[in-house]
Amino acid sequence: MRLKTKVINAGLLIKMAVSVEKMAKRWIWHFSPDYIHFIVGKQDISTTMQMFGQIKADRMFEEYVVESGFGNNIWIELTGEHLVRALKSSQQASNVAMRLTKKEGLPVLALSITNTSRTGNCVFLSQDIPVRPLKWQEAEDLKQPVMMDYQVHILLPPLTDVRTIAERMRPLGNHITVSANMAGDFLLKVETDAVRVETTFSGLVNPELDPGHCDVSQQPSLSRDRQSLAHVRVDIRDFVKFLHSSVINPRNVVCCLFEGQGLILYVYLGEGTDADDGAFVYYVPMRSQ
Amino acid sequence: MDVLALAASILLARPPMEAILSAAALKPFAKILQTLNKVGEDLYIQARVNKLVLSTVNASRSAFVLVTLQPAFFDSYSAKRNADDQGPIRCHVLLKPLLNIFRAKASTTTIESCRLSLPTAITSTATDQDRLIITLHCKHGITKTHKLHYAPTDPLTALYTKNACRNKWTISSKLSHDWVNCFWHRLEEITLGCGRDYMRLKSFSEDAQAEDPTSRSLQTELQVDTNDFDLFSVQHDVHLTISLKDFKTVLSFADAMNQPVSAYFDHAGSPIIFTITQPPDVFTADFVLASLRPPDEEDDDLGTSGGASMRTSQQAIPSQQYPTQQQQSHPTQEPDADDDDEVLPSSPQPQRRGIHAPSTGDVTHVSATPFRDEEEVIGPTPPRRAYE
Repeated sequence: MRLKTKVINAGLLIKMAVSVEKMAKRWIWHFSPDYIHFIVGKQDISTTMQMFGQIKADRMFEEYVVESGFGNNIWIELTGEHLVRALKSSQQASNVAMRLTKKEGLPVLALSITNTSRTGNCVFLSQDIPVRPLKWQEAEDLKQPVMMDYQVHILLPPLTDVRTIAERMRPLGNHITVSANMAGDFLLKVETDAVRVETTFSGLVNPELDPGHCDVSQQPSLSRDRQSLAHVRVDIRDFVKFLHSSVINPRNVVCCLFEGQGLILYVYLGEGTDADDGAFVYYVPMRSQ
Repeated sequence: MDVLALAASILLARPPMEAILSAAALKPFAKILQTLNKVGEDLYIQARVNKLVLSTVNASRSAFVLVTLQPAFFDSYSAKRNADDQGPIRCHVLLKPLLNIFRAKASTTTIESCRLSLPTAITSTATDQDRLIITLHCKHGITKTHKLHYAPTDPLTALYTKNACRNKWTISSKLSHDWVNCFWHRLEEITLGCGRDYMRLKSFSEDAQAEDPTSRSLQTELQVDTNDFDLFSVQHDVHLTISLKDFKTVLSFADAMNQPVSAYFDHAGSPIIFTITQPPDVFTADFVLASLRPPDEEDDDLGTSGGASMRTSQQAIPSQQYPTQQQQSHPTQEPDADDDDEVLPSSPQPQRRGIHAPSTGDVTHVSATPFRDEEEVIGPTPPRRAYE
């Protein structure tokens, strides 16, 4: 297997790596010829929160070569902290090259970074991140879960606002109920024996669905009574973890509610909702009463 | 008689050590104390007649810091000889309480001047004996007086000589303080590799060969252009492995003081000395860091501080105090290749260099410990020094 590329948008890669690192210490990086993926979690989403990130390779890489016996896909497991530290030292670099190789017999992701010191002289930096390439069987488990027919989908208010509220609610209980309707209302509620706190955001947008992705006529969210709220109860720590993780672009976040199953949150890194510019999908499982 | 007695009492009334710091000097003073505290817990004070010397050593004795404050650092400074042995006054205090007193933020705004003194038995009351007295004159007429208990012990000092180091470099702190940020913050050791025309910093870790990838750490290597250095004089290839934490302490101190940092070193296994100084004669801080012995050295020279003396005989540098020389030869003598390890001169030599402790097995965990108790009796010592 062979992986070699130049990194042209180190800043964006750092932000994505930081987002993933906040979810889990170790995660999987999947390189395919057109896209690169970040994976935290496995297919069984009923118990744990998962995250899948993707971006089109050409947004970040140049002279990108990926070759393997599995349809030119490579999966490697690594420690997020190492990648973030290595990438942070490349922020001001004039050239960053990355390749998968072996050093002293063990696989590493080797970054060769050329920085310029204040005097204008070149400073060469190499960072070797220890990785574990995955076997084909392990990689098969890593497909995104398929969830369709959500009841409500809504564009969230700026995540910084949601985060402030959710963090304040966190000490009050273990679970938070996320509710929304197709009329632009989004609610967060914590309820225990002693207290009930509820925050409502109104005037939000329910984005139109892209007919290319699903059969619009079949979507329950569109045939629903617009004022009717859908409720999903999740672990508050999962929700706050999601909020801390999505540091990149808190403006384009779509929340889909599946009553009885959980939440799916789509965080788009680009201006619109084009996943090619980078997107993270978070699966937050429901917690029953 | 009365006049004489009065004069005598006035003379004696002056404390043995008194230093007055202006408000401007407080910030660097606090920084020096903070930096010493990053290395060790105790502050050893030597009040010499012409300078104040502060030092500390870390618990594993692999790092030693010596800061010399010249009279120019103070508004006024005076120190008398110790009545007992005519040497400098020596004592040691804990650093933590000192740090609390000189916390950098508060000191720059509220304190107008500060007086440090060590009183004598004659001038002080019973409670003032054995106390370092710190008097802070603050704004609004407030005076705060702190009395810290000290113990008059003999300090541990590293005896080293920079002039005998064959390699040295100097670089502006603005360029060097970025180096450490590229490395994984939990890394313990870093290797400085220098040659005639190159300088590399490399992460050093022993778990690089571990099978389990979760335990392997990030491997970083940084190559610096030698043109970035103000001075770069390296005679041969040297790879020194030192503690990253201590190296970071050195570089951030240099950056805080806005002074270049100079390094003096010789070969792997011998200590490296980093010096930061404010010219012309304000203060000098020397950081002596032990380095790991390279793994390819013989392990069976346990009976000797052997590596050093063998190298000495090979190098045969004439009339120069070779830094790793195990024998204490008089400075004007040439290092004798046939010198036995046990043979030592009868008079103590101030420029004696560090001692290698023998390494144990294959693991190069041993650091050269360049320390010797100052008051230790110099005489025939066993060739192997027990590693402390």
